[in-house]
Amino acid sequence: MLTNQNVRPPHMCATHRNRLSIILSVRRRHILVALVAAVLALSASSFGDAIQFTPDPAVGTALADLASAADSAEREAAWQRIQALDRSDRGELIRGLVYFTRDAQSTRAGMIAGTVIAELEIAPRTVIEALVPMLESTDDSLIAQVARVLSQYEDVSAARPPDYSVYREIIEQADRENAPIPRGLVAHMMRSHPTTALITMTRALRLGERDHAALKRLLWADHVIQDVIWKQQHGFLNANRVEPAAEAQLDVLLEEEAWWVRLYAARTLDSHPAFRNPARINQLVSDRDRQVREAAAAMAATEPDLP
Amino acid sequence: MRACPFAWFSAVLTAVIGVTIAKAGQLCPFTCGDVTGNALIELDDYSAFHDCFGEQPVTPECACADLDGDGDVNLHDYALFALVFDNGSDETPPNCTGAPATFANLTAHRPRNGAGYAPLAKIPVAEVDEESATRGPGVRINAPGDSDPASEDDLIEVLLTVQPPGAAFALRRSDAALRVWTTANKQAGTEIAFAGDRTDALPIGPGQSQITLWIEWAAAAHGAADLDAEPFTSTIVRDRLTFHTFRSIIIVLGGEGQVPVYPFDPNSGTFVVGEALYRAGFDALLYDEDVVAADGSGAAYNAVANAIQNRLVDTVAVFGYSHGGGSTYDLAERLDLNRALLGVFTITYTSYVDSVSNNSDVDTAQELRRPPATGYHLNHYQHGTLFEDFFLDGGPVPNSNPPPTGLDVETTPWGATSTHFQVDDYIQVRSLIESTLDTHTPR
Repeated sequence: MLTNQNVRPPHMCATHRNRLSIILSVRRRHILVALVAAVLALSASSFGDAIQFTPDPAVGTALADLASAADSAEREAAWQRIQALDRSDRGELIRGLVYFTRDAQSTRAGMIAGTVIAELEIAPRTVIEALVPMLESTDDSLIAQVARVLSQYEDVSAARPPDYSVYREIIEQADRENAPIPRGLVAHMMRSHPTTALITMTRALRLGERDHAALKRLLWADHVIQDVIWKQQHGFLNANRVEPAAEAQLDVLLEEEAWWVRLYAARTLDSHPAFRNPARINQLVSDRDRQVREAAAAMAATEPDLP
Repeated sequence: MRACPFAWFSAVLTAVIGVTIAKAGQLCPFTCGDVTGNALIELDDYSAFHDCFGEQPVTPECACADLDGDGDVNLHDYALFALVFDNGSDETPPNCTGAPATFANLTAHRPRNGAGYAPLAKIPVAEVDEESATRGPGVRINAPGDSDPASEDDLIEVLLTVQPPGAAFALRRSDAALRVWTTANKQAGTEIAFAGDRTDALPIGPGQSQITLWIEWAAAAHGAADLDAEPFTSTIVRDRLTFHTFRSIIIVLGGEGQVPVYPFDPNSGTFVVGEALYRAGFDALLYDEDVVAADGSGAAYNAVANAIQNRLVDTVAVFGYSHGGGSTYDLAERLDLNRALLGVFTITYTSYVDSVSNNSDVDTAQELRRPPATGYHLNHYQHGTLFEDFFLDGGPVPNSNPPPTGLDVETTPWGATSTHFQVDDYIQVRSLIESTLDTHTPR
């Protein structure tokens, strides 16, 4: 039984915080169940269509009770209900945490999700697989909140790009099984870090095996474009200027067959306005892929002088 | 405002005695006997009257000493001066050419954030501070050619109140960097021109007692300068504002789930500190920590970068609570990595309160790294327990203050029972952030 005496010694490393005595005996079984459920969910969804989610009210209520508990006894009772929910459907609990965090109005409420994940020792892969389908939602605030949770597992900082290795595995698996590519996940990667997303996609889809020339073409284009961005970011090139070679490579990408390459181009234009010109924006706004069109439309809305 | 408590009485008195007498000498622009023009008839006026005594013909400076209006200052005038001294009589000094006194009050406000003041409010600079070169009104440099991506939020709103309504006033500046507009976004035709360092009569309509002005610092150099309100017919300063340019920018990051909405909840101690610094003349920007991504990018970074690149800001201070502490690290790291682009600046000050790493909304690890390149780091922390605060806490950070690793508030009498959700609200914690930031960061 968990008690209030379960006080962590000062400055203990976060990875050693979780010393709850319960649930551990059934941990492996839970993870297996969660993984199977997640894979089934991934397989069942089309990834091309928006998915509607409805938060489990029982999860929300238990979390709210934990946040508002007046004393330790109430908190312990709420905690036990959360543990019970974890045993019944871990994916539902994880998604409930996202909704709860999105709507949190206090630090106590806002920090509950992380505590639950840590104390229930929910594996990163389990969290990611529960959340990836939510990226297909049409609710922008939900997608933004999912992104703010997923970044926990991306190991990104100002000094290093994100690690999308788990995402690569998910996409690779979908490709191997001829299942639809999780487009929401691809869009998430492209929004966060287009160049790492592009590399991840070329690997997940085994472009090096299937179309080696295409792999080299994409890598070179990205390199030339990123070189300009690096120069802009470090003050060696005015942020309003781009080099002709980079513009030419971007135009190459705009003609690529793969939608995710054109999405990369759209995201590059979005985050680096110097690459924009009316022709490129108009081409992307009328792209044959809905996701590319939507990304371009949002960017075009910020261009008041666009003809 | 500079007028003393008797000023309005004096104005009323002057209106009652209605001194619009046939002109025999110089025109007295104030109340007869108010030789110094400060709206009072007091010892300073007696001294000035004494200096004027014997003048014939009377000079402009002594016009208000010529109470009988006969062109000189003699014993007849002294007798009348004795009557009106200290507003002691409502008798009419015959033939004095005095005019009703006019008054003005300048009220500056703290800087805007974009098109408005949110998440703060429109907060006036306190009267006691308005002539201080540090606590007075701060203004962001708006050098010529500044595109100002924040929609001209570099201009400072000033309210000029005049009495009586419609009174003619002019502005005087001590530095040509100060420019004055009647619109916040410098619409064409709304600049109030200076001839030298003085304006013409301000566009105050008949019966109008207030006008809103927008003050710009339009020079690519730092400085401090006065803006005075003077009656149009004299050079007497009725009120003064002393503007200082912002050399620093202060980024204030709340904890997870804390969104800065004015007035701030006392339980959002970080924002309470941010407001205090804003009121004390700092350019403090308050944010939900979610505006700082794990790679340090976002609105807070953009604000700092804009300040450094476009407004000659060379000093940065950042502090935050809980996840806001983790974001303090992330923001400092990004700023430090991008120095080649941004230019020369110093991170003089950072502070954590129970700092939690902020790689995501579900990150619960302690943030124990000292922010990169900071000159001074203050650190407060406590120890978490599951059912009190979900094990959330900060911890000792190397090379922090108080030395060597910061203050464990649970070792103090006032913080012995602290939890993660209280630690940012102690007045001792808030006060130490305020005072140490003030010490280590210029405005």
